[in-house]
Amino acid sequence: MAMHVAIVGSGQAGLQVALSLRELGHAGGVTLVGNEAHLPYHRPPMSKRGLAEPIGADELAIRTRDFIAQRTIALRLGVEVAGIDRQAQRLRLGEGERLDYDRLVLATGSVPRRLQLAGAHLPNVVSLKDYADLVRLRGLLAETRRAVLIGGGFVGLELAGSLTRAGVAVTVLEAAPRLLARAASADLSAYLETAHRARGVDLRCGVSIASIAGEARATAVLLSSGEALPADLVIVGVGADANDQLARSAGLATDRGILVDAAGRTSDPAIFAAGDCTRFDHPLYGPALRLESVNNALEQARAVAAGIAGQPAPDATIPWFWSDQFDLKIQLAGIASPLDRIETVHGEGDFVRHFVRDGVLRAVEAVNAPRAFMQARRRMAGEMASLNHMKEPA
Amino acid sequence: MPRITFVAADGSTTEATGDVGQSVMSVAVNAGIEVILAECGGACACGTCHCYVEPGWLQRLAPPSDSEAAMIECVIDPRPESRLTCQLRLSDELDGLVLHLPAAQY
Repeated sequence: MAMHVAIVGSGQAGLQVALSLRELGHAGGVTLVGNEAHLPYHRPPMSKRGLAEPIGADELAIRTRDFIAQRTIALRLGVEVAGIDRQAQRLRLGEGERLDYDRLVLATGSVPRRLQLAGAHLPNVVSLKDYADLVRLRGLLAETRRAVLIGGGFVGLELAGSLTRAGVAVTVLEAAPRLLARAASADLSAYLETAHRARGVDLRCGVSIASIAGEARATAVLLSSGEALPADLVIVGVGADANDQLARSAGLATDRGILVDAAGRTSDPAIFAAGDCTRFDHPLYGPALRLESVNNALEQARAVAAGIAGQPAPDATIPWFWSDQFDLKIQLAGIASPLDRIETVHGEGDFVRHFVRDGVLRAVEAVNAPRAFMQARRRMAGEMASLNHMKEPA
Repeated sequence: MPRITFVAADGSTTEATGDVGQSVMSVAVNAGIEVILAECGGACACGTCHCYVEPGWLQRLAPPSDSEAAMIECVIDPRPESRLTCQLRLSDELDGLVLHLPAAQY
C-alpha cells in the first residue's frame, strides 16, 4: 500500500523524517508542510556564527531544493496548518485547503516563552528562534552599543559571546541563582560564569526584572532593585515550550509536549511526532523527557521513519549537545542528576566532569576538551548498547 | 572558483565549484552529495561530514584542530587521510582537490 505521509514542521526533525522514509524505501507520497518560507535550515549557527557572518538562509539550508525534489518530497512552505481531522485523516491548511494523510508526523518544534513585562512589545526587544529573527537582530545591531540579554540559557550565552566580539557591551540577566540551572551542573555553571565575566560580560544571576523602559523603543531594563540598565537592544531568551497546540486541539495525549513512544508514535496510531515538540521515556534518563537539540530531533525522526516503514524502533541512544560561546566549545552528553557522583577529570582541556552512578557513566560535561568528551561519549554509547542488549528477550 | 572532485564509495564522481573561503562541506551539500550529512551545520560537533583526502593533497591542507582530530577518531573507519569537510576552507591553492567519500557516516 502506497501510504501518503504528511509532515507538519519543516525543521531538522521534519526534513529528516522525509529523507529517512525515502532511504527506507517508502514508496508513497511524502509532503512536508512548514509555516516558514525558507527551505529547512540549520538553526544552531544562527546564535553562533550568525551575527558575525552575514549567512543567508540558503547557506543555512540543510539540503538544496533539487536534492529534496529528487527524492519526491513535496514541499509546502509558508503554509499554516489550522487543524487535524483525525477521523477523516485530513489536515486543514490555511485558505480552506485540505491535505489527506495515511500517516501524519508532527514536528512542530518549540515556541519561545514570552516575557510578561511592560515594554516587552517594543521593536528593539527580540528573541532568536527563526531566520526572520536573525535578520531583525542583524538589522538592529548597527545601532546597538549596549545590549541586555534577559535569560542566561545556551542561546543567550552564545549571543553574549557573538555580541561582545562585535564590540557591543553585554549584560546578561538570569533569574535563577546560577546560569543553565536546569541544563548544567553547578560546577559547569560556575565555570561559565567566571569565563563570561573574564571576557567582558556583565553577568548577573538571581536578579528580578521589573520592566523594560522606553516609549517608541526600549532604552533600559529596570530591575526590581531599582537599578536601570541602559540598552539599545534587549534580547529575550527565557526558554521555549513544546509547540503541542495542534496535537492538543486534536485531542492527542500531551503533557507540555506531545507524548510519544520509542517509535515516536502518539496516542493515535496514525500520528507520530518528533523533535522539540515531544516528550518520551528514556531508559536511563527517565520518563517524559523533553529535549531541545539537533541530535534528539534527528534520532526521533529516524525512529519515526522506521515506525512508519514498519521496522522496529532503533535502540535508545545517549543524548548530546554542544554550544560555542566565545572561544569556549562546550559539549554535553547524557543528563547529569544530583544523584550522580561527580568526578573531575584533570589534565584534559579546560573543564571535564564525569557523572557516575552505580559505576555507570551517565553524563559528561566538557569545555575545550573534545577528545575527553568523545572518549566519554563512546564509553556511554557502549554502556547504553549493553543496557539495550540486556532488555532484549532471551 | 576552485573545483573539487568528490569520489563516492562506488567510484562515481561529482565535480563541484565553490567560492574561496567557503567550506568544502557547504560545496558538497550544494552539489547534493548525500553522504555528507553535516548534521551540526558545520560546527565540528557531529563528525557526519567525514571524507578521505586523495594522497598528495593532504599536505596542502591546513592541519586539523584538536577538536577536528578528536572527532575524526570517532568516525567509522578513520584513516590518516581523514578530514571533516566542514573544517576545510576553499582556496585557490585547493583548485583540483580530490576527496573520497565514505559509504556512510554511521
